[in-house]
Amino acid sequence: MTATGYWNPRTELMSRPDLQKLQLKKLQHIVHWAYTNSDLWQAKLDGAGVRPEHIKKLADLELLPFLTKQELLQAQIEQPLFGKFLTIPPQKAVRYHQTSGTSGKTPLRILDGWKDWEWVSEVWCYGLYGFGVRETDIVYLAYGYGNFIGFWAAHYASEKIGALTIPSGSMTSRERIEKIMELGATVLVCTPTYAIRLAQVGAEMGIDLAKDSKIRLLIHAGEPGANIPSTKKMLEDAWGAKAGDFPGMSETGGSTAYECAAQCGGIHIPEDHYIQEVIDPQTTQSLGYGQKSELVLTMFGRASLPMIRYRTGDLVERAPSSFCSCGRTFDLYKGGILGRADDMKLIKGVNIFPSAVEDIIREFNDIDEFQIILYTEKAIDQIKVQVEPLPGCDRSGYQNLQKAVSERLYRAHRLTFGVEIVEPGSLPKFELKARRLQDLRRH
Amino acid sequence: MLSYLENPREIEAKVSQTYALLKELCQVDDFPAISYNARRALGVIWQVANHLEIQFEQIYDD
Repeated sequence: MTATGYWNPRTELMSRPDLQKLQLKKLQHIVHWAYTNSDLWQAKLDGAGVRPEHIKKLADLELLPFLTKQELLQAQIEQPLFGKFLTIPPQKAVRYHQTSGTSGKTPLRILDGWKDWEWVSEVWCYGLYGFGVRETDIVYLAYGYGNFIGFWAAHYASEKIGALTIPSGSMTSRERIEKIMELGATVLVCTPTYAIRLAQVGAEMGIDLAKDSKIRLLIHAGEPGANIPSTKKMLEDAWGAKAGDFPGMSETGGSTAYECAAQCGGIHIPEDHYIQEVIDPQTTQSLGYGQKSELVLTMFGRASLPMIRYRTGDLVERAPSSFCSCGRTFDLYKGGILGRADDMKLIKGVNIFPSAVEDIIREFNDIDEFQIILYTEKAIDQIKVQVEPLPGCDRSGYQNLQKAVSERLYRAHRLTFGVEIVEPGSLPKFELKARRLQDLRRH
Repeated sequence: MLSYLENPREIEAKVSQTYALLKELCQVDDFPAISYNARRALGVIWQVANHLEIQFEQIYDD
């Protein structure tokens, strides 16, 4: 019997009933662990009138209260540094990370023991191996490392698979491209935005990375780009490589879903390590397949800071495993992480998702960078998009570009967007978590 | 060559034994190079034991 292309053929091909039995077993263990090792978890569960022994079937998950990032942060404010949700003495940890703080709030501090840290990289292996990374690969990680978890776990997963793993730390984009070329890297790990940036810098250096480099796989996280169709195409064209989407978050240690080599347009949920629910954020009722709503997750492997029914704020649309042809029985998210629940903006009665705007902007090959700006004029909400053409773009074409972008945005939204062409090099560039939305409205 | 898919019980037995042995080695208290390497290796073999539904415990003390 053979099963190729799966990191864990036992669970990735497991029948759904067996998978649910495994999830129940793991759920019971993590709830018991949290209850008996954290005062705050005990108080939280007691407050909801639920004890570990009440979890008898998978549907009993709904007895458990939701956990929010605000609760975790508040616990760390009340009891610095790590708060009473922590289930282990801090001296048992071997690893410290913190959230990126993109939302402008105090970062959440997270500790891992040896087993947890191994688990974090283990879950990344499902994605890397499933997308085609092998021990013969040379994996180049283009990011700054640091306290934010970023691609740390991908680094260790790449080592675990046995690939030659190259960190790039604080190198410049030019230095990174030189190293990719010199060492013959075959896999690039970075955010989608930064991969596009590297391709542009490569062009400035006279290097066509699609033709001249050996990169064959692009591993992306940190932003939804690799599952936004036009951004994915742009990435794949720029590098002559397959681009995959591997979202995660610091709170879980990294990977929460992964794209497989079949590239069906969705990402698989590693359901042997998580229970992931989609809920209506208003009613908190669980939703079924095909409904775009908030992701809530419970993870099993990392127990120093248990995440049980953690409200991520990410928007997803769940699909059954049959959506992909790869044979995995894990369900998927169509289109990856679609954005943040709080990213959706209402302008003149129209719902605007920044990822949908990006999908349109990326259709234009002459555009290097962009920003979405929301503002109020005469008490009415307005939206404009600043677009920055590529440095070599002919200025005489700016007006046509502005008109074409404006028309395309209008057709997709039935809403007039202001479109402003700005000077090349004037908008911010990003290596991690691009921030392309400015909300200047006063409400 | 060994095959898990053809002979899961044999592999599961080997993983259980390895897990138990590493836990024991973590208790060596006069030779840091043994206990600390065993502790790290235990974190790795836990992943395998967990995949195979052999072990669900959370380990921080070993």
